[in-house]
Amino acid sequence: ESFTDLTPKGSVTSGNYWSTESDAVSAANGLYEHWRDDSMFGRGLFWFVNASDDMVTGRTDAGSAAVRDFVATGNESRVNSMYKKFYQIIQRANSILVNVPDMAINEEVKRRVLGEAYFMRAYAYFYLTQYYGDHRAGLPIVTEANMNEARFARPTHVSENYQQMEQDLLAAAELLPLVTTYGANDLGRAHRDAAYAYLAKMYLHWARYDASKWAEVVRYCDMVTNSGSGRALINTGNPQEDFASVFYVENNFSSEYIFSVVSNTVRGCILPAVLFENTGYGLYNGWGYFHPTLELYNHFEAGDHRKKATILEFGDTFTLFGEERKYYSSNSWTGFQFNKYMQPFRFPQEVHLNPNGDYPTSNLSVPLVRYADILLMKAEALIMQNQNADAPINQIRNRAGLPSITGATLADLKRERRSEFAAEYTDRHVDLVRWGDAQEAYSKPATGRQHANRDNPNSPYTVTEVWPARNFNPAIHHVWPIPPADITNSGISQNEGW
Amino acid sequence: LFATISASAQNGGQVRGTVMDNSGMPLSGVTVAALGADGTQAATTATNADGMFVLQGLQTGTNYTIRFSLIGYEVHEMADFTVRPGDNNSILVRMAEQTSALDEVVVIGYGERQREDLTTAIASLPNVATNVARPLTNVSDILQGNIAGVTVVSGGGDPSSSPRVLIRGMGTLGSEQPLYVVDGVPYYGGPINPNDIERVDVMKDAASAAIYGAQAASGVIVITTKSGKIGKPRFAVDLYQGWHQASNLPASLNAAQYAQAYIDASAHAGVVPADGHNAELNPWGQVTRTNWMDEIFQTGSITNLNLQVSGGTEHARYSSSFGYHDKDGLLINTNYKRFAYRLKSEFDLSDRITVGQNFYVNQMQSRGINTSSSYSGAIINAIYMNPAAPVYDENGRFHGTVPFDLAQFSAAYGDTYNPVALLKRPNISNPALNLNGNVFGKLEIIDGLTFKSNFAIDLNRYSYKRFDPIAPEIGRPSSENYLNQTESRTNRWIWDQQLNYHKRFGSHGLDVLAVYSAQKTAYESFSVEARGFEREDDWYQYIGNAGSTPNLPASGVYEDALTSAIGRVSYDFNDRYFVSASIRQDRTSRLAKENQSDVFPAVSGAWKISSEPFFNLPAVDLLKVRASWGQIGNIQSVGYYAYNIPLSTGTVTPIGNSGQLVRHFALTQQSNPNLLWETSETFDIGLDITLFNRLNITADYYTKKTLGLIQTNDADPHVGVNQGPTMNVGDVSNRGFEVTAGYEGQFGNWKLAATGNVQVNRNELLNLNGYSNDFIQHGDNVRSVLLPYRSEPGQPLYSYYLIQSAGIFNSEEEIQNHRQGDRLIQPNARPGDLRFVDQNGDGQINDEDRVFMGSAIPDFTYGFSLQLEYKNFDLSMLTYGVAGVKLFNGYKYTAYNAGLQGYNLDSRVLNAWRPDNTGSTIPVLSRQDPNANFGTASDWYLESGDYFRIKNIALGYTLPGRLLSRIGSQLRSRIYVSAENPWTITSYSGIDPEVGSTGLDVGNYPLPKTYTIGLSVNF
Repeated sequence: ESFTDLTPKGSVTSGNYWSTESDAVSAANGLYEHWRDDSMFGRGLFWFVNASDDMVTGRTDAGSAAVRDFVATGNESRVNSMYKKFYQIIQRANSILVNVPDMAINEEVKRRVLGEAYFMRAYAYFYLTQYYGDHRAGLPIVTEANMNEARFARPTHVSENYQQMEQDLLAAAELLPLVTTYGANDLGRAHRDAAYAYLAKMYLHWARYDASKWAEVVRYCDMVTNSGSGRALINTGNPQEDFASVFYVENNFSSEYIFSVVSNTVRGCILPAVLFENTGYGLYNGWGYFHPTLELYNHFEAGDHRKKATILEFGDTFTLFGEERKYYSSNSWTGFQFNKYMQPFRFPQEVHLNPNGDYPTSNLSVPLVRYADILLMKAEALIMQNQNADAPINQIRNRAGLPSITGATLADLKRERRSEFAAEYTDRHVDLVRWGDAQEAYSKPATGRQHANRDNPNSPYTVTEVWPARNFNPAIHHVWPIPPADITNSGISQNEGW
Repeated sequence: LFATISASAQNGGQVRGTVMDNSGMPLSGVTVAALGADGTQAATTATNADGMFVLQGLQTGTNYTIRFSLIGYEVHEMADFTVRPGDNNSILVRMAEQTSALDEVVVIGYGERQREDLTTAIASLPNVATNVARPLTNVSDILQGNIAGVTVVSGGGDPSSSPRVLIRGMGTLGSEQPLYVVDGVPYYGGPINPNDIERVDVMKDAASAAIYGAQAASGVIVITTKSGKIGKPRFAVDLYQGWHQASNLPASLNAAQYAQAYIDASAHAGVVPADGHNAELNPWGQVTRTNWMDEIFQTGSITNLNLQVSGGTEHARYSSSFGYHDKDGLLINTNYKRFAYRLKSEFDLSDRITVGQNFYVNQMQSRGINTSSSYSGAIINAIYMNPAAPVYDENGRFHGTVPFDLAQFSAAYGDTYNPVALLKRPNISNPALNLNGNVFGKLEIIDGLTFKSNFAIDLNRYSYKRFDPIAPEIGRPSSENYLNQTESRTNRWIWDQQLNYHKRFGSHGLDVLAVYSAQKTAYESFSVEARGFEREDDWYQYIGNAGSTPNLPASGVYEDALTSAIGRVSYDFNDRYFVSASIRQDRTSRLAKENQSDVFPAVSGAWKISSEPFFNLPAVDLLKVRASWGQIGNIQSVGYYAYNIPLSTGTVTPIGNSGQLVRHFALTQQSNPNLLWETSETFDIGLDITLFNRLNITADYYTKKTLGLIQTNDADPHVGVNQGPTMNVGDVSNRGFEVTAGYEGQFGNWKLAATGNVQVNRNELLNLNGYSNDFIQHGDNVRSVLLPYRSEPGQPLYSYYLIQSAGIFNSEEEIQNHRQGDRLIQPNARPGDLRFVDQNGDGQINDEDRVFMGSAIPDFTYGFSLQLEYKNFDLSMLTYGVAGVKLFNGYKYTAYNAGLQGYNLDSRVLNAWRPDNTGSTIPVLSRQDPNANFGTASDWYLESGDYFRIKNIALGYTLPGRLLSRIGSQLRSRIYVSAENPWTITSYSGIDPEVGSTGLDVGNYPLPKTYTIGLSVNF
């Protein structure tokens, strides 16, 4: 009988894991594996960001068009896997929270690993609730206490998720060290300021349902500012360069860093190359997927240095693989390209880019939350409480080369967020939904410049419609459809209307 | 046959003679008997190694009947033979090889039986010698069309692919390969040299296959290799040389047509065309320089050489063979090469003890190419690639879509690979070495009771090495070189102990078998990827020269153990009633301890009506009905550790500021300790008829149910794993009918043999009671956009589930009239777009409108073979046809669609819909696809894959034999010419209807037409 009783060789099983310190650390590493996942922050979540009025899909693709036009079923291959992948992060966090507390390992490591687990569980719920949850239903709460149950139900209100996230993030903030204590090899892991930042972000959403949470937003933004880690805007007094330099490889972990998709030339986020010219002028396999609209281009105030740092237009000078060239594109639907993440392309390819054009990662870590968001969240929360928000808004404006304003209004705040965060996972679509502005914004078509000769940087252009007006129903489309397979596999209810 | 006669006239009269086969080879071991007028045996002897015999003790002047008999040959009788005095002359007898199926001996598991006594459904490959001379690489290719109930779905012409063999339909979504048994031992080794094959028997029903238990759920293919026979050494040389070509290849647009198509497509979509297509700005792009199809396809050559020497004495027999097979692919730089060596010997140590061994070593190296991806497939890239580009630039380097100095136009031509570079650039070496051998000892303990012990080993060594140089050219550039290297080894042993009792008591026959079998497999592999080689010379492409290894080496390990206890009892009475029952208990390491073991029974019986005393129809030689029922487990569907899934790991997560990746461990699949065997249960009722000793008919009706279909469930997403547990989720049914009819006859100098077979099979997924969803969505796709396959109860497995299309809108008015109530069903449509059917009447087209539309597995297959001999000429033909096949021509998604990255298109788009060409079936060319003409998984892609094909025609001539007195042997030679796949009828618009298992075609590697000339020499 023992002849057929074999122990799996060459692999670890649940039965013989959770014994050493490195087991705990390796389990925590698994919390971040999704950074290299193309359907998550590798680039996939950009299909949702792409719903905003800042960009259009630069390719003919029925599935992504259905998402952008709010006629998706959730089954589209572009968007049908994120929901469950966020729960995979949650499962990994729960497994740590079950097993690590009783392990006899270095206390400092144990605290960090547990902190990472609490943080990443809340992080996953933050995006889940942002995309799929509302006042009609939250998302099933799975914790170390109930993870082995067979069925999970949706809470009646997303605020139940917020309560869970609040607990988790407070626990994480308690357990996690400051980012400044991390050595070079641990940078990128969750840290105390990131926990405060996600608390602020979470309250910002919660405040839609409970105005008392605006005060919490301010509180935790200030916790970030005052944590002692020195979080601050990059501001050398050179507005032409300062904003652009936030997205330089050397500033991956600058004072402005709070949480990013850590990337390198082997694995990580491919968004920079996804935004880069399709086929990259024959030099590198750019994918050319998302093109800035003329509306975004026109939105910037005169003198705002963020405009050039964010958008390339025909004739703009930029450096590509060591050579200066003038921008043109025969692929761009709008005549523009996002410029924000182009620094890795300035150098010879081997310096910052993955040589594999089919998986074009770079050394640039793409931000999820940066200090500018802390300032603008605080400003928004102050305005919503009828308090003066000039100071944080003007920090942002001055860094961009714009003059200070006084008596900043919600309209000022909204304009600032758009100018600051275009093409970032900060997600303008979510902002528009939050503010109740999406229906109006999307009722206008997106336009771009049709250049007469698309290979000529000096070519004249006419303005044309590149994406027709869309029908956004705020009662339905403020959340995305949960993928139908996940609905059938779990028995939970779909978001109403989808 | 003829005989020269002489005899002695004395009391001690004797008859001398020589017995040989039709080819003039002496036959040893022939029983020669002289029978008196009353039928009593007067004398008997056997031929010696030279085929000579002396019958002694005969009465001169008396008439005898002299009878010659040998297994495998027709009994030869010389009646009224008068023994004359004197012994100076001798008789020469030629014996014909057995052709009557009645006396044919069929291999059943752990034994043999005469075909007329079979109780189960076992079919045999006809015309083995002709079939192995065909220019085919795999044994399974040979089976196609030759055996009812065996469906061979070709994997196309890729030299590295092997076909998929389905016996009586698709039973599972997991792995189902028939078990190969070679010379009585389960075989998992390398490719079998077809020239070694003596016979092939296929066990189709559970009752016949059950003796092989858990590995035999999909049937068993039993191969018997050639053995030595008593006699002088015989040499056989078989050689053929062939040439093959692709046919029916698509053409792409030429450069000017390409540019114009995109200008038109841009105009239709209202966008500015790319400057690359503007003849004034880019005159270079208007000149056609390359026909990429011509560049990637070649006339390939096939060479096959086989040498065999065999022979034996009364107590020892041996056979040794060497085979060499070398084949070019249809696509340049694809090929297959095999060396095979077999040594087989057997020794009788005494009357009761026999020992023997069978040793087979083969080395195979094959180079295929990906043709099934619509991104990187070699054939589809030859369509995509800019025809204005030459293959090489002036420096002899691969050319990109545009030259470097016209890089500004690259965007017009898409992210296309140079297809010649795809085929030629990587340096690949992948030798697979297989060593397979067994030794056995057989002891006859008492009369009728034998014990046999057999130990087999199977060692596989596989090396894979691929070097990808830098690809600087414009299109899909890659700025670094890579070396991927994998080494793996599989070691397996099998030990069988077999006890067999066979006895006749008057009219009762009894056969009892007991077997205990154990086998164990250990697998280990590792692989490394290295990058950044400073130079790319052949001699530098070694791992030690790598610049870096960014990903850590990977390893793979498993062990697998199986034990089986088997019992079988067969009984027959009076040549009329036959029953057999077997039971097998299998125990596997792949399941949780408490579920490891299961028992699989089978029973079968036959009634030979033609042997009944009351039966009196002289024309009917055999009339037999038989029925069988049995169950078999399917081990192949079970993962090695399904009950205890290892944690997933990898060093893939970027953390830190220094470009490092860190290791993680995580649970990614749920385990299922409750997993049970997947079981297939077959009921078979059959009829065997032989008429006039010439016509054989076998008919079977069967139902085969797969119970407890094993499938990995989707997990509840909230559990947070990629995959749910592997579970027993449902049941599948295959029901069908098979008929085989064979005729053999001789008319003067003409000999004729014809065989036909038909098979009807109906596949249905019965239920998915244990599955997480009401249906299984399959991931097979075209560019992640079209996912046409679904398995749902009530439908065949792997059915197409598509939106129905109904032609093309010819006018705005037709679009306006296509509405549900006041709702426009296709608001984004314009004339020239596809009209889709709103099945559910909700006024819109979406996934809810999909309907089931058949599958790629044929409902009906038929084969016909013909053998004609006239004097020294022989002609053979084999045909094969399938019906009820649907193929998804996903090639059209990219090759007819101007809405993608700017790829060149199939020239058939010249006939696409235009206002002045409204009869077209191809939608209007457009740079955008708002109506989702192409983005919809619709039946516009679906085509009939039915075909009728002449698989092979061969014409041979046997040179008149002549005695080579000097070496005392005879030479026999045959030369032949043959054509493989020379002619096909199909309505399929793709390259070849044999596109592979699921029927998804994106420009897959086609089957070749092959013409060969061959020679075989025996002496």
